Formats: sequence, structure tokens, C-alpha cells
Amino acid sequence: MSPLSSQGVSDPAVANDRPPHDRHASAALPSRDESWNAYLSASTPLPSSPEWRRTDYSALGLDRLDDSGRRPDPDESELSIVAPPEVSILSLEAALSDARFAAQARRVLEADPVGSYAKIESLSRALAAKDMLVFIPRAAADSETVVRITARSSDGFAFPRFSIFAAPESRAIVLEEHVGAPSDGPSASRTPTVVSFSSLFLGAGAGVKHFYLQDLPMASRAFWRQTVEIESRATLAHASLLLGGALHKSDLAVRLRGTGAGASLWGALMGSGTQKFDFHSRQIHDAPKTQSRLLFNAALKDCARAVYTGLIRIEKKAGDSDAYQENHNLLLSDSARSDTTPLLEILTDSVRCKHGATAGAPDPEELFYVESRGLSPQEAEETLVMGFFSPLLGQIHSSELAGRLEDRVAQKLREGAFP
Amino acid sequence: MNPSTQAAAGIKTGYQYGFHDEEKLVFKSRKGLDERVVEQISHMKEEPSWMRDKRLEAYRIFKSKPMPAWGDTEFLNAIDFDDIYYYLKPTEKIEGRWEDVPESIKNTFEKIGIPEAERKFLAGVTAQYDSEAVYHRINEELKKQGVIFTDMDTALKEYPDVVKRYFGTIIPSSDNKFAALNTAVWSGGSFVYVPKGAQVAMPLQAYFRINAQKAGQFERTLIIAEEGSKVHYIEGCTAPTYAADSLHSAVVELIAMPGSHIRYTTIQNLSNNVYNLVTKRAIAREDAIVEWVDGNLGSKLTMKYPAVYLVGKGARGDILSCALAGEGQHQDAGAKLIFAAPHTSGTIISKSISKDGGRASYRGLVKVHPQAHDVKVNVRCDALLLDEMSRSDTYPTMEIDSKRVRVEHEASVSKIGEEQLFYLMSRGLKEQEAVTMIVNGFFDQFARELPLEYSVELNRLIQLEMEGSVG
Repeated sequence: MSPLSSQGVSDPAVANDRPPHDRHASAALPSRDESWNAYLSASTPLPSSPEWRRTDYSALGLDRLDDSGRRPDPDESELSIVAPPEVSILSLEAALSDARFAAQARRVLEADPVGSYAKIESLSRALAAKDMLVFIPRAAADSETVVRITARSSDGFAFPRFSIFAAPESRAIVLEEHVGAPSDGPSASRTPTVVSFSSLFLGAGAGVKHFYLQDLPMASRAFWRQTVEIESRATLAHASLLLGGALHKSDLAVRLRGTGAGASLWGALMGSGTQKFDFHSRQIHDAPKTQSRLLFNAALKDCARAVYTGLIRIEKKAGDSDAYQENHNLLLSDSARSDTTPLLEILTDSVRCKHGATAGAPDPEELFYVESRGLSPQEAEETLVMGFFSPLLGQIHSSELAGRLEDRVAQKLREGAFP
Repeated sequence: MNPSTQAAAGIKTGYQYGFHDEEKLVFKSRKGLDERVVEQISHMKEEPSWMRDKRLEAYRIFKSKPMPAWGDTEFLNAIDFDDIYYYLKPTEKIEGRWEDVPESIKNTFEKIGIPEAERKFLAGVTAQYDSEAVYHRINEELKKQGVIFTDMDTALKEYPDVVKRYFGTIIPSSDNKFAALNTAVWSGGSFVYVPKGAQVAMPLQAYFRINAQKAGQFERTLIIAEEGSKVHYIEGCTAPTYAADSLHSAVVELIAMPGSHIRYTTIQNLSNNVYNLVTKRAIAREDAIVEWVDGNLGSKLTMKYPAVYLVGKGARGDILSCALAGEGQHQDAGAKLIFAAPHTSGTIISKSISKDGGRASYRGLVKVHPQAHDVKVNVRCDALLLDEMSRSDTYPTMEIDSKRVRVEHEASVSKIGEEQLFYLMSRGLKEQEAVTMIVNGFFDQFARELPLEYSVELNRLIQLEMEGSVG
């Protein structure tokens, strides 16, 4: 059971249930069959595309779905969205035909996908149980609206899809997690596959803290893509913690669209056994005076492998912007492996942009120092690894939650190679 | 061509250029490439059959390989392979008219103070620059130590066994499309052999030495440094090299035997119509040191990533790369370090400036193989953007497959700081002078690695480049 889900739901919250299939859906919304056909006709992404350079598309095992020759039924996995009553939660179809939300809902439809994700995105549209929209209004002064989004999978395929709209000047905390089912019975030995597409829209002056935890069973495969659009003066604080799965592929794309927008992104992973993580981040500066910073740390033991690809792009019109990106890889075993590709594309001169990356074993001098304080070599190494996670854990609003996640990381660090 | 210089340069003068009546071969230089052209090149050079076969094999590989799908594909796809002369007989070598050399290049010669005789050579008007007086003496010294320094065509005739043993062993034809093209049609380039323990004190300078053949479009260079030897080779020159050819595609292979030290310095200032697509790779055995010092000022598109494969324990590879991208230029330059042995180390330092809408990209690779423990590597990329039309990219890749390593990478992109300018101007400098001073300072690390005359020329050249770019 994951630390997040064990926290329970104490908010005065409503669990959302999507209304039955909306027959008045807008014509712009493709039907499941249309999406399925688009999926079938789209070509398989090539390893030469930057998104699939290090992870072969076939490794996700999605082609098993084509076997029957017809569109499988939509997935029935559990996606729960829990939020206080002032938050509106409805399906994309419903939002498109609701005057209050139609304009925003259209942005979800019109989002321009990355070419090499077109196939998998069509699959997600064809098979997602729900495509949910969450509207967070501006709350009373200083209070933060808490939204919890949980996808549970123990077997088969799951296709969570959602979008969150944070109203101008709103304040929100979004907790998103992908975890195994609470009691993993005999099916735990099977291989759940989670394919998640989501988007965040931050209105002018909004402030959103988003925390994403992936703690799926070790045999599972996960694909997670999130796009974030940030209007002027709005700020995003994102933190990703990746722990589970045999294969995890993430793509976090943040576009700073309005003057003075800002994003702080933290990511950390703890890899063991033969786990493979492939994390892609994009910091796109599309307006003047925007700021972004990213810190991504990977600790790897056994034969685990981490791939990090991070792009900072400063468009011509994004003068006076400031971007920073840092990636550190801690290799705790001889067989661990890390690949890092930090990319900068700078199209204007009035910028400050830096990135840094390191990879290596724990610093012997630091280990010696910690050991000299009376710790065993193993404890010393553990201390250094935990220090590696502290910038991320420091971003979590609840100290109780942060403590529990710290325990989870420590537990994973101590576990044998193949539990 | 002056026969006496040919003889002095050690090149045989008995070329028959392949006119054998009984075979009814009439070779006329023509545009485009096919197997016949490749065979003709080999035939005219009177090459051994293994080289002809190698060329033909490489030609087939060139045809079968697609254009790279990465890098500046827009520029790359604009190359018309059928519109290129792949081989010109030495007698056909340009011998153009000084009047046809663009005014801007003449001005540059004037301003950076290139001697009259050199100017014509650099502008491609004469295929010769008479430097024999100086070089004769150097040759004597080299000979005493057993050092061989000649052009590649001569080497193939006079040292066929050595060439056969090493040619294409570091960069096989199948490495990439342009390496295959070069192998099929290569001509000219340098061959350097430094025997065990020999220390070559004076840098070997290619641009004078190769002049018998005039460093061609498809030059092929091979440097072998035997155990404990040391050599510094310099290619190119600071002054702009005017070339009517639109494609320049060289292959350079360096072999550093245990304990040897090779430094290879390039200053590329090809005219702005040239595609410069070059493969350069070194192999460093135990305790060997290989240094690439690589400066890119000219060309329309340069794609060049000098590499060091560290295959022996304790080897070291250092790459210093510097690029200036002006109007219409894309400098896609970088470096690769491949660690395949323990206790190896390396550094990459890249400095680039983009101005007047130019684009400078750093593209690099650091790869640490599992057997390479106790590896240290540091990569630093600094980019300076001088105006808002220009672009700077950084595309490094690090693949770490070993635990006991220390890999560090850092990159920054910035413009000239207002405070820096303000400070210099408050000391009485005009804005133009202040910017030039900052740019020169930015390239200082590179300039310091060059022999004095080159570094003086580089400073003047940058000054010239900066004229009119501010204000």
C-alpha cells in the first residue's frame, strides 16, 4: 500500500463519478472508434525520434491490445478525483456542451500533440474510461484547494486522462498518484500497464503545487505525459517521485506562456533491480521575463538504469528570461547505468541559462566524513542517498507525508536486489 | 606546378594521369560520382588494388547510407552530390584569377596582415606557397629522428605497408555517410609517423606542407605516434581560405601508442559557401594523451565532433572547441570522449559565440563503458549571444555505465553583461572596443593554446569580425 493512499480522505470531499456517456458530445470530440482507427493507422514511433531514443516503444507492450483485431472495451480501472465542493469535476464531453467550461474544454481538444506520441495518445483517447476535467476556482484569501487524483492498477491496462484548470489567482495543491491496488492478491504477479495523459492550465496569477508519486508494483509498466501551460505571473511547483515499475517513461512539458510566469520542477527516483526510468522534461519559455528551474536526481542500485533528457528552449520573444536545469545521478552499484542529455536551445540573447549534470558513486570523502561521526558504511551511504532526496521531499507540503515517503525510499534502498 | 618544389616535397613527378590508349580510358574531370569516377581516381593515382577496392566498397556504403536525420537537416539536404567535382588532376587545380577573389576576403588578408605571397595561395589563386626555405631545415631535423611527414598520396606510394596497416582502422568507411564518401574519393591530406621516443619540438604545419596537392576537399590524414613520442600538428590557418568547392569532407585518424602525446590543432576559416562535414577520431592507448584544439570560424555549415577513444589504462583526452557563428552560418561543433579503460580521464571545453543571426551548437557525447572504472571527466560549455537574432544550442549526451566515475557537465548561455560593458566604457573604451575586448577574453582560453603567430592573427580576425556588429 502506498503512503499517499494510506493517508485516507478526510477532506469534505466529493468522489466524482462521470455522468453516463453524453450523447450531445461536440462533433470536435473524436469517437472511440475514430481514435482507435487513428491509433491503428499511426506509424509506430521510431527510435530515431528524440522521445523514443532510449526506450523502445514496443517495450511498453501495448501491441498486445491489437491482437484481437477489434477495439478492446474501455478500461475499467479506478481513477478517483477527490476535491472540495467548490471544484467542478466533469467529463470532457459534458464540459464541451456546458457554456461555463466549453471554451476551456476546447483547449484540451486543440492541444497539439508531440508527433511521436500521436499513436499512444490516440490509443489513450480510444480506451480511457473517462477524460476528466477539473476546474479549480479562486478560493477565499490564502486558502489552498487540495485535489487528489489516484489511479490504482493491479492488472491489465489503465488509461487515466485528465486536465486541471486553475482559475486566475487561484491557489491549489494537486496530489497525483499511480499505485497498486490496496490488496494485491494473486494478480499481483501480473503486469499492469498504465498510460496517463494529463494537462494543467494555470490562469494568470495562479499558484499550483503539484506532486506526482509513482509507486506501482515492480512488474508494471508506466507511461506518463503531462503538459502544463502557465499564464502571466502564475507559478507552478512540481515534484515527481518515481519508485515502482519495471519500466517508467515520463514526459513533463512546461510552457511559460505569459509574462512573468515561473516554474520550479523537482524530480527524484530510486531505482533498483532491473528497473528502467526514462524521464523527459521540457522548459519552454514563450514569453518575456519568465523563470524556470529544474532539479532531477536519480539514485540507482543493482542493475537499475535512468535516462534523463531535459530541454530548455527560450523562444525569440522570451527576452529577460532565466532558466536553470540540474541533473545528478548517484550510482550505487557497478551495474547501475545513467544516461543524461540536457539540451539548450536559445533563440534570443537577453537570457541567463545554465545547466549542470553529474554522475558517479557517492563521494568517498563525504562517506568518510559521515562514517567518522560513528555510522557504519551502510548507514553512511544511506545518509548520503537520503540527502540526495531531501530537496524534493522538502517541497511536499505535509511533513507527515514527506516523512512517510522518506521511509519508503529508505525501505527501497535496503531491499535486496530482487524482492 | 613547379617541379622543383614537388621534388623537394618528396612527391614523385612521374604521374601519367592514367591515359592508357589501349584501354581507351579518357578521363575528364566531370561533376558527379559513380563507380567509374572512383575507379578513375584510384587509377590515376596508380594505387595498389587494395586501396581501389576499399574506395569502391566505401562508395557503395556511401550510396546505401541515408543522410543523417539529425543536426541541421535543412542545410544537409541542400547538398547536391551531383554538382561536385570529386577529383581534379593537380594540373587542373584552380589557378584562378586574383580579380575573382571576393573583395571581403582580400580585405581580411589586408587587415590581419597576411603576406602577399601567402594571400594568393590562401585565395586558391596559386596552388603553391613557396615556403621551402623554411621547411627544408625542418625536414632535415625530422629526418634525423626518423619522423615521416608527407602527404597521404606519397605515403601510400612510399610506405604502403604502414598505410595499409592503419588506414581506416580508426574510422571505418561504414562509420558514417561522409566518412564513406571521403574514403571513396580521398585525395591529399597528411601522413605523419613519429617513431618510438621521438619528440617533435616544432609544430608540424599542414597548410604549407600539403601545398603540393593543396589541401583538398576530401583530404585524408593519418597520424601515428609510437610509444613515448610527442607531436603537435596544426591544420588550417586563421586567414579565410577561399574555396570554390561547396563540400569539404575530411577524415582524420590519430593513433596514440602507449605513453605518447598527440596534439592536433585546427583553425577552420573556410569561406561561407562551404559545407564542412568532417570526421575526426583518435585512439589513446595506455597513458597516452590526445588533445584536440579545434576552432571553427568559417564555412556555411560545419558538423565536426573530434573524438578520443580512451582504450588504454591511464589515457587522457582533452578537447577544446571554439566556434564563431556569424550571418548565415551554423557551427554545429562538439566533442566525444569514449572511456573504455580504467583510470582514464578527460575534459571538454567548448566556447561559442553567435552573432548577426548565426547559430552555434555544441553537440557532444561522453560515454563510460562498464570496464572503465575510476574515470574522471569534466565538460564545460559556454555560449555568448551577441544579439537577439542569433541562436545557441547545447546538445550534450552522457551515458554512464560504470560506478566509480566522476562525470561533471556544466553549460551556460548568456549575453554580454551590461555591468561588464559599463565598466569597460567607464575606463574610456568605446562600446565597439569594449565588446571586442570581451569577445577576445571569451576566446582567450583557446587563443592561449595556439602558437603565437596564430593567436595574434586570431585576435585581429575577431576584431575584424566584430567591426560594425555593435552600435
